[in-house]
Amino acid sequence: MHIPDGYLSPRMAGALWIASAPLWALSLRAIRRRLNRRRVPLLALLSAFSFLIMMFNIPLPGGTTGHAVGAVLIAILVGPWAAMTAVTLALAVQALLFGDGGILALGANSFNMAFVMPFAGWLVFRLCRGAARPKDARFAIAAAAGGYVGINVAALIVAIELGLQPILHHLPDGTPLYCPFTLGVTIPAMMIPHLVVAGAAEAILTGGVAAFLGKYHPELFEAGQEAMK
Amino acid sequence: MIYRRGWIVLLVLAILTPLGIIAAGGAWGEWDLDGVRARVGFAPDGMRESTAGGADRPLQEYTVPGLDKGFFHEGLGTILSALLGAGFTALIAFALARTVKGGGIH
Repeated sequence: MHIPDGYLSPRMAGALWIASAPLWALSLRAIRRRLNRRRVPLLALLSAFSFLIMMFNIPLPGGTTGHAVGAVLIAILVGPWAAMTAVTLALAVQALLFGDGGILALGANSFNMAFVMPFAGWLVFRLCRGAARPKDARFAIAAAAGGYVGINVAALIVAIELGLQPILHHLPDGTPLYCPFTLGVTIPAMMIPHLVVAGAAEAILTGGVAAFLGKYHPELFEAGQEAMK
Repeated sequence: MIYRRGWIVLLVLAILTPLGIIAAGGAWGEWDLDGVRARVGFAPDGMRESTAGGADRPLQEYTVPGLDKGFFHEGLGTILSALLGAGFTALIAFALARTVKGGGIH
């Protein structure tokens, strides 16, 4: 899901940097205003957690690999706005030190994995959670549902960004200039493996950790509940 | 250190990261120019131009320069990459969050 440089036109990559900039500002504002100072180390821990969990590649149908992101779990713990900064920093270190995801494409990758994913997943979590408390089974199931939907919505946005390239940017004879795959290719190529395997991995991770922490450290979820009030 | 058990979990994850590179094949749509050429028969012009001169990053693909001889070396390089990357990520997140909350990073 880490778009490398060269797949998006500079124009689209730039547009997604510009789209992400105000979202980062809002994320930092949410951290300043709503994240309890004592939870700053938790945010750092979760950012590193996201970095590490993305290193665990799992085989996907079609001969490719994928990974969980952890963004929805982070959103449930510290709120989706703070999650955006946590995941963005993991993506930035991946791009700058390890060449995982492009640098021009960092705006796009942040938009997809650090904004779309935690917000989509967190909204589903909120809808499914109802009045469940952290130690209830429903809480963990809602978290798992959020993880599943979050990573799949992000995968769909990636597929759309990639698949728009040959439509938007091609030579007069139709030869694509950037990502050469059309929406008819990118959407099934991204969605089938994510719907079947990567989504399940994200659901198990998000639901599993939420169940464990909900049972043994329910106090950890207090900030996540306050984050959007 | 608060969240001590959480940091221990991260340390265990970092040590287990060599398991994460066993799976065959890369991610879909993350191929280099040769990979694209192998799949569609050509490398698109814009893609070639915007990746030209793009040097490898310091620890490209989670490998440590010099640690590339055999499975043991590669595993060690992956663990070192994981520790460095996760440590660096946590430090930046901590410093940034402390800074925006005011009162400095100490």
